[in-house]
Amino acid sequence: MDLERTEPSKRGGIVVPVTAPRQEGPLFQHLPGVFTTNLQKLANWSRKNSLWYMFFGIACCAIEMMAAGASRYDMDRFGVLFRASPRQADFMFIVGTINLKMAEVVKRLYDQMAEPRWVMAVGACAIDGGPYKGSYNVVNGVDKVIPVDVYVPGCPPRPEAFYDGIIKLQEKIAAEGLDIELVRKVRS
Amino acid sequence: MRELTSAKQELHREEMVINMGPQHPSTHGVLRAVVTLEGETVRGVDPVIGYLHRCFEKICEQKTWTQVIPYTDRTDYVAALTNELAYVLAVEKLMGLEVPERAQYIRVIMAELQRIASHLLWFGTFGNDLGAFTPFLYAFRERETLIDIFEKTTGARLTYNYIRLGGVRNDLPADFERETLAFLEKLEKGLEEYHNLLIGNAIFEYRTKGLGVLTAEQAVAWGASGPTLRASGVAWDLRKSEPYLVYDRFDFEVPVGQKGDIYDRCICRMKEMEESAKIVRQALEGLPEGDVVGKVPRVIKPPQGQAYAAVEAPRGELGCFVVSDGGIKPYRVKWRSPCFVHLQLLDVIARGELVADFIANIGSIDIILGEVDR
Amino acid sequence: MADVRELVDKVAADLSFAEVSQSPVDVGEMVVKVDREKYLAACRRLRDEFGFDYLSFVTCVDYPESLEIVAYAINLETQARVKVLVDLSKEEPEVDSLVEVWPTANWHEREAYDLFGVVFRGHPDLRRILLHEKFEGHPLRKDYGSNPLLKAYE
Repeated sequence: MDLERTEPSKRGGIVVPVTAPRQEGPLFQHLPGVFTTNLQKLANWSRKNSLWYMFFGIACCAIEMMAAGASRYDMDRFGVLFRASPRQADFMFIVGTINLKMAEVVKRLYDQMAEPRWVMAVGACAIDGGPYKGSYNVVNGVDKVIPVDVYVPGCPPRPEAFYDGIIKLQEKIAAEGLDIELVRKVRS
Repeated sequence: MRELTSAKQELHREEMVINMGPQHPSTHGVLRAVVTLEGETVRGVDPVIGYLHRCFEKICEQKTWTQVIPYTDRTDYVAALTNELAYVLAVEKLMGLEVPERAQYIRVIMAELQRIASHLLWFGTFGNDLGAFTPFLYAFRERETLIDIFEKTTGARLTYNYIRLGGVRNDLPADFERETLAFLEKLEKGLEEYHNLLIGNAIFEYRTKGLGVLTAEQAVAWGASGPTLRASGVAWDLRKSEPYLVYDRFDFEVPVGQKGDIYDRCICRMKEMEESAKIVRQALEGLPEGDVVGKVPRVIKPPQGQAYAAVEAPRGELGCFVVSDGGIKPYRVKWRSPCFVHLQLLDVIARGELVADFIANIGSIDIILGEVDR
Repeated sequence: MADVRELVDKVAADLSFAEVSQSPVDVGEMVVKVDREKYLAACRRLRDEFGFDYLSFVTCVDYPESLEIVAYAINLETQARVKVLVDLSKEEPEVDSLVEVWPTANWHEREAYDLFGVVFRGHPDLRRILLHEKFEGHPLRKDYGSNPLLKAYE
């Protein structure tokens, strides 16, 4: 069992753009900022409007994830649809309780996703263990295993809460690689 | 020439062990199936579970008797009210609590509506497994109407915490009857549409008829229950054989299959939805006035002893075995989960068939891993 | 709903080594208490002679003095139910496996082994089912502490 884990992300009030690699290469180093910023904005815009998630339903919140993608609450209108393979996915919903056996699997799936990738922890169990916190087999929150970008509370959260999470993730992606003051302006 | 023939007869065949899951679009949760294949034919299946083991039974020993009810919701999260019912019936048996008639009728209505919701979800995901995505959207459209009704009554969409010791938490809202009857009308029209869309489809029949056969002796020996057992021809339904609540007052049939193949299991579930609609209609007509909670002591302390209560959940016989030592917390809660028992059947029914049929087999047993792993 | 009073008398006459009674909380349930040595024979007799051909579950309860195995079977024809109880000592929790009598006991016994540490003699495949292979200890016992493997995820 591979017990290594990646650095947990910081929680708290400020959304910190971390995960997407900056557009750095010989071309970008010589271009003035007006080009790189706009290119970054273009990349961010295209990424946030077609977020494809990996279909990975762990527990009860998965039913609400399916409901959020089904007829009444249709996620496809946000450009969000599911892919079975982690290689083809942009982000991963963690919907459910992570236990000891599952933690290795989640880590492996996260490693298999191609960058840029994001993680949304949905539900109380994925945030910090939820109703099962403290028991002998449950990991208290998925951010002990992989870095998390957005936390959506609820047990289970309504599909509208899923949308809140997706929109926050979109705001986060829109601000990546750009000034943190812009992030604060966008969020206020 | 003779040498050539004998060489052909000694073709080297190798068995391949492949791993399906726990992340797999069709395994209905975090099931890992280690399948031994010879080419595309399944020679053996070893389901590996435990990826959702959340220490439910241990947690029950640390919470009070009433605090356990939200945890029971989360075992079979698709049919949450049935779980609460199993636990509450076991504790009421131990304590000898009386439940008022109105509460019993409400419990029956909720349990049957929950059965419809669960089978609709099964219908959608089973179609999805076989490659048909449209039934999934249709099924969820109906389910959303039903969930609206549940939300108005219980306050939650998925995990309700509604059925309590001695009755239910609160009375039905004013427009419950009107909305439920409107839903049942829509459901009956919808079921016809679903038969045309999926069940009557030639590809569906080709993929399900004659496959995954479970004989009646095998089903009884391996402890199958619910539609999985009834499709094999054994007419065992707890609502008829050991009526709990007020099921003996209603007139309904229990669909029983003949061949025990995947198709029969599907037809059993589709027909069960119609029968549940019948029960709900009869229960709404005969709903008596009265309290919704009986006389329950302030502090729940069942006497020392053991009790077992089983209900007919959408997936089979869901049982709860409670042991009390006279204290305010349960001493032991054993959850008899039908899907846990049915997963053993995979080895029996999938042997000799193709890998693509294995997916159909998993779907036809209708497993929910929250219940399997607890 | 069956009333097992007559069945209790018949079974008590047949299984002389067992204590047979009707359950105090449930008229349809018969309780059979046996010793560890006679457990398999009693279950086989209940299936062959009295028609209890459907096993619902096998589980374990950790009492202060002993571990108790509970096997619950149903007679589909008469709707009678039987609960077979066996007491095991905590130092040597071994008992025969019921897989030959009811094949469905396979996974139930694996779970009892996994969570309680009860060894079922004659079980074809006794290994952990719910917990990780590297898990040590049997968590549903009352004296279980905490899981050291979780320290990596703190």
